[in-house]
Amino acid sequence: MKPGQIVTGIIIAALAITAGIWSARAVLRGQAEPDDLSATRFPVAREIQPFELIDHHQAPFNKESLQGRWSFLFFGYTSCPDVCPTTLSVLNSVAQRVADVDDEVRFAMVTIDPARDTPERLAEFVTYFNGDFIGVTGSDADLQQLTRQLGILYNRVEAEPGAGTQGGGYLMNHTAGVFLFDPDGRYHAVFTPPLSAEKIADDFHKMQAAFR
Amino acid sequence: MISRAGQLLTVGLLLLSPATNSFADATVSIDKAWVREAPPAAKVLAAYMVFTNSGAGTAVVTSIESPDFSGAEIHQTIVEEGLASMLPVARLEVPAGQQVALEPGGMHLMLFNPVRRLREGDSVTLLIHGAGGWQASVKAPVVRYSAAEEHRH
Repeated sequence: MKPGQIVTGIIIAALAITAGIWSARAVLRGQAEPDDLSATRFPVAREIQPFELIDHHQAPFNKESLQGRWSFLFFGYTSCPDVCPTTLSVLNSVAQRVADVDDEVRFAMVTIDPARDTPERLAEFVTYFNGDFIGVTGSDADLQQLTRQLGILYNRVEAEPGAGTQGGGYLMNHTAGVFLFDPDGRYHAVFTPPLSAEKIADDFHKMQAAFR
Repeated sequence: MISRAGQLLTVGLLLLSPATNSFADATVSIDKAWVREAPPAAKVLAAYMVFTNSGAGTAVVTSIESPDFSGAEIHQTIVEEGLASMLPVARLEVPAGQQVALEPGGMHLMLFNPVRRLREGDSVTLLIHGAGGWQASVKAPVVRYSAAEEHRH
């Protein structure tokens, strides 16, 4: 074989592999998201293991709290000036867009910074965006009961001299998706950033209509 | 990504006249500055603005301060694999003839510990310092940001 033929052969092989990957992805996507959603929806909604947290009214927020209504959960913190307020504004817009649905729909921000986010502070933060929003907190260990099974990551970023976190504070890195639970209390779908209120509401209407 | 609120602010800023600063071979103007209204006891707020460099050389913003806050830093929001993090930007470079926008979900000015409760309609002063000794003073109105408005066409 001449060098030219070898190169041509390699290109054809590469194209064939690429085409194979694309078609496999299309098939997998087709199975997981039959309704043409921008959300990632599980073919079978996932059962959640027990967890025990409290909401900003100091009432229990646990596995049972997810049952009987749709729940949108976001994991953030109140000392967050950009991503968390933007997400809560988006969720407020979603709340207005899905108000036509008969089922109860609830929105909650679960703090990933329980050291600073007391129920009082959470109450003030979440209700600024929507009076019906709920803030959820708990001990680090209790929080991990929920976050681990959802694959949520978060970590504290300490202040470095001359960079970041003036005023004795620290920042949190955190998973910025929005998690949807169905009225069976199962983990139904996840919306990953960039978040659009319009797309989340459209997807929710489709999933709500297809439920049961 | 600049919201309708941001567009309204352009009008407001014409009245306030955007800060323009000349030095050596870079000319930097700052407009569409606004501070996002936050919940009552928020200890951190975010401000957004657009830097335009009409000069021939790169302009560098080295620090920002405000009499209305204990401190301010430029941060970049990064969302990678669904994980959001904020990285401090020590030097913000604005290349010659280009614009750099600080906007929701991207770069923002993180403002620490407001000295008073800030509500929509209030305004704050931001002092911007650049490499080579230039500085600019910008008045930024406080605006209640709504994601709903962003999707209105």
